[in-house]
Amino acid sequence: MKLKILLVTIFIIVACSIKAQTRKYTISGKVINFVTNKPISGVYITTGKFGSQTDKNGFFSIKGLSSGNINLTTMYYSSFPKITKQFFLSSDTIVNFQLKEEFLKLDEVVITGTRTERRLSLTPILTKLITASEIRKSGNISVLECLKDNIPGIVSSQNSMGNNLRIRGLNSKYLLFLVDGERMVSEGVDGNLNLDQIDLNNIERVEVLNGAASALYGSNAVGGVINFISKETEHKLQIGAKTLFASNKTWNNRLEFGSNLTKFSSKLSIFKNSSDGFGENGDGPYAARYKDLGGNLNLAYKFNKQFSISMNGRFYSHETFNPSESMNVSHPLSKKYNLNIISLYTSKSKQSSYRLSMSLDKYKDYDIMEKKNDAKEKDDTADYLSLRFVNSLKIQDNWELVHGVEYNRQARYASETLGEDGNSKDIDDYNYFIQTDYELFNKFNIVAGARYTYNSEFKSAFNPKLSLMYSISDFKFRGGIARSYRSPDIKELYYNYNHQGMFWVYGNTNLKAEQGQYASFSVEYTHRYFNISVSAYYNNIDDKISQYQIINTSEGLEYHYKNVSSATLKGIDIDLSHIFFNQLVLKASYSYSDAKDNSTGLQLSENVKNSETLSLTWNGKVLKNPFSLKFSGYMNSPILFEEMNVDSDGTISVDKSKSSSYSVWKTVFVMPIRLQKHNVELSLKCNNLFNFKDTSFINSGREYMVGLRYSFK
Amino acid sequence: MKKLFLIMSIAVLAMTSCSNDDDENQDLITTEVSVDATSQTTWNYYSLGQNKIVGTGEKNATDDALWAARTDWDFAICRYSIRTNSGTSTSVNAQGGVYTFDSSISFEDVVTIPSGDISVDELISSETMTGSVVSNNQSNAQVIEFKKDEDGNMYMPPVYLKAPVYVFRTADGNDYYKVEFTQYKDEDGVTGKIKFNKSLIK
Repeated sequence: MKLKILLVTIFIIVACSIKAQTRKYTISGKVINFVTNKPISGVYITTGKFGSQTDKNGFFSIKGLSSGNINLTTMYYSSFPKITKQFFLSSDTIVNFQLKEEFLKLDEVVITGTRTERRLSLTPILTKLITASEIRKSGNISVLECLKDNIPGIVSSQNSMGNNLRIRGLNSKYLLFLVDGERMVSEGVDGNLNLDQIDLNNIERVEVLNGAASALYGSNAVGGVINFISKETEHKLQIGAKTLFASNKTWNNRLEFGSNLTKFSSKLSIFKNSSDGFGENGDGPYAARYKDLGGNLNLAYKFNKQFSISMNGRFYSHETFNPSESMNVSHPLSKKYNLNIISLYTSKSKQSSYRLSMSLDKYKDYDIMEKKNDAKEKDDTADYLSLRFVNSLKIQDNWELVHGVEYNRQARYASETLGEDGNSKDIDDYNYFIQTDYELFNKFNIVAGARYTYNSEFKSAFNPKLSLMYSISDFKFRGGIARSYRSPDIKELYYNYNHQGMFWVYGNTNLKAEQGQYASFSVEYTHRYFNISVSAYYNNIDDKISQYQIINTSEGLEYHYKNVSSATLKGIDIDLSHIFFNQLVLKASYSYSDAKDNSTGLQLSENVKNSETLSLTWNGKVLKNPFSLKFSGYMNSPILFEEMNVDSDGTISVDKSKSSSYSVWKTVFVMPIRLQKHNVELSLKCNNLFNFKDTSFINSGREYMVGLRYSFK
Repeated sequence: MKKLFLIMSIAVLAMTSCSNDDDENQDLITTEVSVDATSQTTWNYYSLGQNKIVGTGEKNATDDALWAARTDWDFAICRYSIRTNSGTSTSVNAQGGVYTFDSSISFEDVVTIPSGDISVDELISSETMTGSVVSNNQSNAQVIEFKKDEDGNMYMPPVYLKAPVYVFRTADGNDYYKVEFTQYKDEDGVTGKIKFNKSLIK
């Protein structure tokens, strides 16, 4: 009998404890707007597995949750940054949120200035930030359009030889374009590369630095660095689809799949873009018909809190076609392949991290022979391999150090330009770089760095930099000096080309690296909803490599290279942003640029002296649904074309011409509709609103775009 | 017997007249001609009537003068440039020349001799890549047209557009042939491998 009672008691106790373990709890609460204190409806509150949306009074309630660690996150429109609250659930709990709408994005993290993460408002290197939400609200469908909207003074002409980009008279050779901190190989003339290979939909943010950054990034970071940072997969499952139709029968279609399962995350996206181009008939602006195909695969594995490894692969193919009645027998096809493998180890104390990376970027250029069944010919290749080992140390709370070793190799195979029967050439360089960031009295920030390079062609280069930042109340003063360099590329060194007996081009293996000396000073002021920065810079580039002509003994024309010229760039950049009535965001940028070729006294080709970008965005609501309506544009003073020519008999003539002033505007309407985990977004855009035309502007006039984007997160 | 003879005579006459028509039809057939004009410095002299290249000459004063004195060629080609036996390209008053149609007119549309003015050759100057000026006696007709922007600058890499249909007059001034250039680069991309269609117009 006693035994029976004991057994029953034990059973009851066990049963009760089991029941206690499977008891379900509820999390409920209210979400209000931080500024207005008003409730926000439609916010999705989720634990990852379970969730619920706030009602019209801002209340939410998630039932049926088991006891355990909870990460409760808000999911709402991108202008309201997520808030996550962590706690242990052991009873019915009330959790309230105060969501703050962020338009100025001053707390966003940037990385380019220091190779370590810093908040935009605290980074010692002045950085311009373009966020994914701004890219969407601007209806940007190409990287070039995004840059033109945000960086004043960009001159570009799109042709089948890549984007011919110039900023302040400096072409792509002096700008360093990076994707997640890694270089892309230059494809065409003057360091041109086709920026359409970057899928804008996969970009989290674009960080733009003006001026020299060779200490951290090496060659080419003379005029500026533009770093495209990819999006990370955040959700357990995310699916996306996008379709877009614009004038000139332009189609952009994209599919995306991603998954973040804590330890293992993956992302796959593919896009297919095409356009009929314009101007096939007649003498007006002309852009060729094209077909693009691209994809991105990302796989990452987190072994534990310390060690992770990730692999990223990119593919891009671009084919341009001749006008339908042309007598050309071939058209170009180019392909890009990129593979990036990164392994990261962070110490337990988080004071030190080690990053080993390998990046390989490959470009292939073909001619498709239309009368030979579309056979591929030519097969020119350009490669860039980069191996890097970086160690970041937090020596003290106010003292950080980054240093590393880097090996780079560029190689080219050309069927005609490096020698008659096809030839390959390569250049190696070995680097050690170090940069340290020291904060003094919570007011001063000193950044000092240097890079030592040993290049297989021009031997040694040493590039130091020094930056200071002084913060006082709402002001930040930043100043810096730095040395930069641009190593001569394979074409400038090894060119050996006979153009059908009409002219010859020869490289020069004795070329030295170009040297830049950069100095800048800026003041930034932030107060509540207003931010303005004014910066002045001086950039002097010596030993600039130029092409010159000689007539040889058989009266033939030869082009050669030498380090002969120097250019001095001086200018002022002003950037401001202001939020009115919590709904209207005004952004304006102005640049004054004086870019002089010191040997001739003339302005560098295609420099623009005064340029502005302006945008006004209304973030409004219709029936509780947010939308954005943006009106933006860019304006330039005339694009200058100044050239000095020396005739065969020695007479010097100066040729100065300029375009008309530019004024190009657009308007964009974007409306996202969120239903729990589903998001549908409609975009409408009218580009070149006032139909601006100029002979130097390759544009088909007023253009329209309709886009539809679906995502499940 | 007489009837048979009569019938046979009529038959013979009929056949004879038919064969005359055939000869005329031969001239009106379109012929495709290939010319290797890949050399930058050589003019290839062609005769429409004989349908062959009668010879070549280098781009210099001596050769130009020798050919200017001949009437056995109607036009010459060097890469995309054309020279007709007329105007400044002839020293013996040859009556060649070219008429250029509007680009909307196709080869089949042209059936009669055009009524407009025939263009004769002039001394045309152009700037070379070295900046020096070079002059050649040539026609304003070309094998291809380059796609240019509003400022007259060529789009690079070059986009070759189809030239309009031309009517060339022979050196003796008597016959007119319609000509349509159909190829400037061959299937391997070699520039100057020219093909054109020609047909006599009555």
